[in-house]
Amino acid sequence: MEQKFAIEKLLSAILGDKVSEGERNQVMEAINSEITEKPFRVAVIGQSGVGKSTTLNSVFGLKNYTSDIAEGTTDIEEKIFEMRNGFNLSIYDMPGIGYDVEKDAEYERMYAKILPDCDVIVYIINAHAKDIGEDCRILRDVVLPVCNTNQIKDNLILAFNKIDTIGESENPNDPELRWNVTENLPTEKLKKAIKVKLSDLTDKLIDEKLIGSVDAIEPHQVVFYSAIYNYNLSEFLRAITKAGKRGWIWTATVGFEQIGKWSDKKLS
Amino acid sequence: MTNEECQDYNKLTKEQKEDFEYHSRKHPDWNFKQVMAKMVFDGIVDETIGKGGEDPNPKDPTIWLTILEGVRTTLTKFKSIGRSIFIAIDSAITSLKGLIRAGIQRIGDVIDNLLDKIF
Repeated sequence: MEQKFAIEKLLSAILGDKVSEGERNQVMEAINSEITEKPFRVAVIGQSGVGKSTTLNSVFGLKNYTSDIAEGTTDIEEKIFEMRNGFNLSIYDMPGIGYDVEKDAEYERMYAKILPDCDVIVYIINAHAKDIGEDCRILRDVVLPVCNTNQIKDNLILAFNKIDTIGESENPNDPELRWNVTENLPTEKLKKAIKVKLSDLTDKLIDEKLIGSVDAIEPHQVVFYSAIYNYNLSEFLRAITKAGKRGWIWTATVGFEQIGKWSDKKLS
Repeated sequence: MTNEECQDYNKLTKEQKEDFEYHSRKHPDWNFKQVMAKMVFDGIVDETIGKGGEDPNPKDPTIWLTILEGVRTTLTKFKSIGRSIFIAIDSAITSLKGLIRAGIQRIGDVIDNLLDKIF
């Protein structure tokens, strides 16, 4: 039987001559059906400007993807992208909830309708945001309850994007706080600023009982990265792999070849 | 602290215990689990920033361990999959865990040989 994905080849190597050819084919058919029977579904949630499009470009390899979802809309369409060999990626591009508590119920209905079908739910926050109180409220009062009710809390990834801009938001005039574009790394001063900011963000998440509490998420479900510079995407991929019951499918099939696909580094 | 929490606390190194006490004093309203979550996350940040945000490594054995565990769970849905399959996969998972525990340096040749078959 033709092996199309890395996981099939690995399984074949592991099973070797320990099982019959018939048994080996049964395993390959089972895994292939799991991979191709339905798309790998990803919901991406976030306010305008947090970098949903760039994240989908860099993490999922969707070239020229543009998030055109209007703020406040609850009419979400599923977009399907053919990967290869019968494996498809499906994206639900969802706006972040606005700062209108009265609309929470409407969004909760939307999330309750869509999220249970998703293999991975990525909630993106701008890492340099001065105040993430409202995002914490939405996560605590709307998103996590939907996830817990539907036993999909493990599918959630809390993604802090734009860590490259943390320094500039502190002091736009300090060149030492800007991303080192030549090395594609933070400067030493920016590293310290990133650590301090992420420490503050973690404190906030813990205070809001979003990690380290009952019904909260685990530390490995929180990732910090820069989509535009493809920085720390390895941890993002690790979080996807660990997500729920099906996260492994993405990485075992096209995950490694799609991540950072359109970065200058890969193209050169 | 509960007995379980005491056991977990006692497993910490001297340095980690100092970090634990520091965070407990800074956040007196946090419980044990919250303080530990903080330490885990700070550790992840330090390690990641220290490594320089490495590119994803297709031969990362820890990722393939997660994948194999996911495959194993998935295969339990299929009644046609025999016991010998699970024995073979469990053996691979156990070997991989042992190698990861033993340290990344030792993994090199063995994991490269296995993953070279797929890349």
